[in-house]
Amino acid sequence: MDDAAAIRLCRGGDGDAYRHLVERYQREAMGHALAILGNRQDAEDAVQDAFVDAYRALARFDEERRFYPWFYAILRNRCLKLMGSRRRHDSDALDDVGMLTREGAASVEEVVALEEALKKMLSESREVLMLRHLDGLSYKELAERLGIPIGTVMSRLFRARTELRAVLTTRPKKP
Amino acid sequence: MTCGEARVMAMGLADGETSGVSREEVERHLAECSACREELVTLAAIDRIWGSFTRRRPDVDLWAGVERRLASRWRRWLTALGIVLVSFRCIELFPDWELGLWTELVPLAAVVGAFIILRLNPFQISTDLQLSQEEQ
Repeated sequence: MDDAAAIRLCRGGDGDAYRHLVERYQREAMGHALAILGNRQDAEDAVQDAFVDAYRALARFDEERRFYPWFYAILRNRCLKLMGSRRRHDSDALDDVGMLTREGAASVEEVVALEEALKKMLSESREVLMLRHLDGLSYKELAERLGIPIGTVMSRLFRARTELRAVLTTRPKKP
Repeated sequence: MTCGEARVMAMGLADGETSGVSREEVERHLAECSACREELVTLAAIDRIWGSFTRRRPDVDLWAGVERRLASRWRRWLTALGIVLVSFRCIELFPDWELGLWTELVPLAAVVGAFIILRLNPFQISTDLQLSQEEQ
């Protein structure tokens, strides 16, 4: 069943059709929520709440568009809201959950180094870097996903890259 | 063109993004500014790191949680509706009550209650603004 058909069935009250959408996108959504929140439990909560929000908002979904970019805006909203409440209530922000998978020539040490660096960065910087480099989004797609103008995408991406360089170069070397 | 602008635009060109970027101006600036050239070389080296990684997509099964949350939101609405109906019935059962001080306290309580509901947002109404921004 494709997304459009599933959404049409959901609008008609078919809960099982929504299950298809959740199962199709839950892993991708978890990857994105982890990049913003850096904490598995929070990411699961945010993704589940976002799917509930999306279900409620399906009546307003434009079938000409793809589901996931639309859903991403809802997920991001949820993540930011959760991050705000987490800042107010407790400080155990990031756990040791992995955000990256090694491919090709990367060593385990390189994975650890980049993971550690990403966790030290601002959530906003981490998010834009990962969307650009891991998901391969263009500036236009980034602007749509993040709800900001392309000029802001460019400056945010530049800031994120300089931030990553600063974190990587100040990282203490192991003896 | 300032160094800051040149660096951001040069990064855009390196990413293959040309809209809104004046290639000639950027190249002219870089030809004259060694600090910008060095900055861009180090950033390009950092960028190459990403080629060895993909995003981790954890194995999860969240449907049970989503289903539970969907049901619990319905329960919240039904509870709120139940409270309204019971309150209405109570008022109906006692039409001859001397209200006195209540006429002053009830509006005050309603305002405080409305404020608490807006603050706690029990029905999780939060996506509208984001959706409308995205639709623009």
